[in-house]
Amino acid sequence: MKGEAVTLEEIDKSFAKTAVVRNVSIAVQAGEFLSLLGPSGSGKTTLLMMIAGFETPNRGRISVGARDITFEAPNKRDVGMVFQRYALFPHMTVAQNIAFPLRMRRFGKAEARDRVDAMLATVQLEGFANRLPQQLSGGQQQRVALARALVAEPPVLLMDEPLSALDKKLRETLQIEIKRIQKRLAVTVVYVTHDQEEALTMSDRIAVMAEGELMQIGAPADLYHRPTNAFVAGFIGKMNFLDGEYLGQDGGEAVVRLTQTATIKGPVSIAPAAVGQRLTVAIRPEDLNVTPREGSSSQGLAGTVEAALFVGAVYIVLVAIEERPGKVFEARLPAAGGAQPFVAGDRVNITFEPHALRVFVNQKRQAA
Amino acid sequence: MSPDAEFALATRQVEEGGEGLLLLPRRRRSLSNFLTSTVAGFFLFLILLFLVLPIIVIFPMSFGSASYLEFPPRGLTLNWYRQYLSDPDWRAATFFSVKIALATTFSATMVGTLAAIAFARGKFLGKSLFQALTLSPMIIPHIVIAVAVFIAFSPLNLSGNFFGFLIAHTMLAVPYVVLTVVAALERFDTTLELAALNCGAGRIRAFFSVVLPNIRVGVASGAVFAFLASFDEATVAFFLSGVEGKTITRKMFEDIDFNLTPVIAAVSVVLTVISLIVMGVLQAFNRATVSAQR
Amino acid sequence: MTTPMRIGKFAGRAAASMTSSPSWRQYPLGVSVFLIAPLCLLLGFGFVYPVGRLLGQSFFAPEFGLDNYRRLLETPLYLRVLARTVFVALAVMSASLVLGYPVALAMARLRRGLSNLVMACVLLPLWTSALVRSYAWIVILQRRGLVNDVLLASGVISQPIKLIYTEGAVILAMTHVLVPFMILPVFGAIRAIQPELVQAARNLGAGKTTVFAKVLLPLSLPGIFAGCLMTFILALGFYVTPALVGGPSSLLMATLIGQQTTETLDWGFAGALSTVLLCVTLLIVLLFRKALSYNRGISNVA
Repeated sequence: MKGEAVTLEEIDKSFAKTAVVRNVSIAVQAGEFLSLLGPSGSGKTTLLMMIAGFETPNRGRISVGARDITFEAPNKRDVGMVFQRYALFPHMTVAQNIAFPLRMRRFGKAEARDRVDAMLATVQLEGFANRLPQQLSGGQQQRVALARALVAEPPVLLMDEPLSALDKKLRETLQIEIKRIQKRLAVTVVYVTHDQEEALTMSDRIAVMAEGELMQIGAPADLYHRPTNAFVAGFIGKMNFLDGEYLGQDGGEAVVRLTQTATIKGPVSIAPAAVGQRLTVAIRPEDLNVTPREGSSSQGLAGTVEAALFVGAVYIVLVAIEERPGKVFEARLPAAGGAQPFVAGDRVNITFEPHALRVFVNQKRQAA
Repeated sequence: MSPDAEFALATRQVEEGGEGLLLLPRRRRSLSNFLTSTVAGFFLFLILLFLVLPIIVIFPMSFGSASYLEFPPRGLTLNWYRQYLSDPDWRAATFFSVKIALATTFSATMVGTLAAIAFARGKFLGKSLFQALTLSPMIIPHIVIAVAVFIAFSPLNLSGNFFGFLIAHTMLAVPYVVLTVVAALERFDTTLELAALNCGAGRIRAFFSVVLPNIRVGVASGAVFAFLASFDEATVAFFLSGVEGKTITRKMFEDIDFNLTPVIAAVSVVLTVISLIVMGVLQAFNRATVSAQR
Repeated sequence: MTTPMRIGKFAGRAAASMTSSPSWRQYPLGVSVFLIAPLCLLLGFGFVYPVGRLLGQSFFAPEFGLDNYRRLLETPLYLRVLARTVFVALAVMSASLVLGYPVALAMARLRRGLSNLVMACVLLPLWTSALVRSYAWIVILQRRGLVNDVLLASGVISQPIKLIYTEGAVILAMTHVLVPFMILPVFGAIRAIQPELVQAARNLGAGKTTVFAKVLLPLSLPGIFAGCLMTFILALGFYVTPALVGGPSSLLMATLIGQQTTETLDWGFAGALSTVLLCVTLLIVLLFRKALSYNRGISNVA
């Protein structure tokens, strides 16, 4: 078995005149682990359903390798799928469940048995062949679902939030296991999740979706360090946002007024159209410096510490921005010394390196 | 609202077991409480007696030796059963009824299951109207249906005829099948069907290997209700029976009116026992399925 | 979702225009039509055509006009039969409620073994043919039947009294036949009441009577309603029991329609009587269907 590329071209899909997927194009490479990440209602599951063939797009083309499967019946696509709640057949044993795709493909009895045994070994369920699904734990059911999806060696495996019903610990074990199996079989995986941590740890690339549109696609580190819009910036990892006003260019950098007293310079992702336009400035918590403020010395943004929390490797300091009532920045400071750096009520300045800033224009929405 | 749906609900709920007691409290009780619950229990007993006694009465009667109906019987005999079994009229009527009931069970289960799938999964114009029409034979007075079918079928030589009965009884039995199968399909998780498609099964394969095994209790219940709806049916059978094609219920009807012999008690016992066996088998099947899936 | 669905394979070719986008979650229109076709044939030939023909006959037999209905309205006997039918149905409904409610309550709230026993007592008659049960009542109520025997033996009466072929006998036997249709919906409604509600009421100091009046009874109303509707409708058009247990003095609509069909062969008049019975039934169903579903909605929330 070898993974094949999955190509989505300009896909549109609407249900009862409500657009749920809008002009999405994604090229998944052969053998790649790609996650579709987004909040509920972002259209990621609908996209997966269209690859599986349960829904068909109103516009666009879906292909696997060189095969156009846009309107192919789901049973002819040769695309494995793991469903959210496993969807194991309750009236069949584990072995019968796993053998089902082979039965449909008219495999010989002996070969089917060998393949089922091999698959049971792969998902570490050797002794469970004759159990019924409801006699298994959630994690075990999940492994059976994975085995059933892979037994016919499809070039593509689709997974629809397969771990969402499991507890955190089991989820982490299975993440590693799924990744291991995927690497070994070199199958192309399209993985739907709303859990950004899961997407970051498992994926080669992540496609971030919101409101039916593809917001950005890239490697996890790319999305984290180089988000191209405020939504991705906020959705992947923690991000502080502040509104600002564009004052003009200065040496290739944008000059942005954040508050009455604070003006900053920073690289611009998309050049604003006009001076005076509203912008969003974003900065990661670990890129913030917090220093005590004495007297009226004003440097960066003036704020008051609301809370300082020790969380192991770092301190999380929550700072209320004085000139923006209600706005609280989160800073992560190394907890090297061990001594608590701030207490609630401390007056502080927040400063940062200009290159750590992201400036976004025209964003549709922000993730919190 | 349908009796069988309510029944299914009722049995399921009883299986889950009861909790507190209202009429007969478990804990320490005062004298007044004791009196209240004793009186309540007595009335309950009387009502239950009212429900059960008329059916129990026919059993000793069918074994009584007197040629007129007497209770309690003085001597015991199997004479009435012997008479029933040796009378060619009774035998023909029984055979005719069983034949119709089995054929009705088959056709109502087929037609009703197909329609139930369309009702549960399809989307088409006038679906709710169709559903209402399908269920209306349960609500419309059977006397109206009986007279209507009799008048319409007579000129077509369908009265007193196997096929006439098959059509009429299937129409009466189909609502039970549709109700139970639609209920089963609504409980069925449709992702299982998608999973089957994804595994490479076509629509028809997916139905037979995944959907049908998971709704089989509903289909079986529908089939049993269909059997009883035909076998115990008396109103349409009364009008549609002819001199040749006569059901057991029509024969009973006539004999009750003309000569009230204990043979009828024997036939009643036979009918009741068949009903109880059929329902018992269904219950056992349901229970086996439920426990297998636990 | 209202766009016509086609089978995926064919849709592939047809979808060049990009207007239809079939979903495999639903069956395509063609499949639905195929699935429902046998039922349509069956209902068309076995139900719609005969009933339509019977209703039509009331206007056309023996000749076109409203003569059949005029005759019905102008003959006091027939109006009395209609009134008696409604009265008997109401009586059966009320008796079913009075007898059925305690049974449903016991079934829902007794401990498991006892409630199973009560359940068996309800299901036994439900699974027995109405014909057999009517026959049993004849045996019980006839001149030399069980009731007269007991009364004679105990000296309450010196002569057998006439019990059978009376209106009372009809109501009694029909109640016996129909009471399970009252018990089961009421039982369902009481079972649906969360036990916490009853416990909470008891904890707040409510006595048994108060719990019943303020919690159980109001919350079981939807079941009562469904049961009443069901028993009333079935009683209106019941044929077997009144035909066997009833006499000439207790003629009901159903028996009258039967007589007109098989004895006087006046199919036009039988059609008119059927139309009236049908209209009364449908009117009640339509009137109360909304209230019924509304009540059920409330019971689901509670």
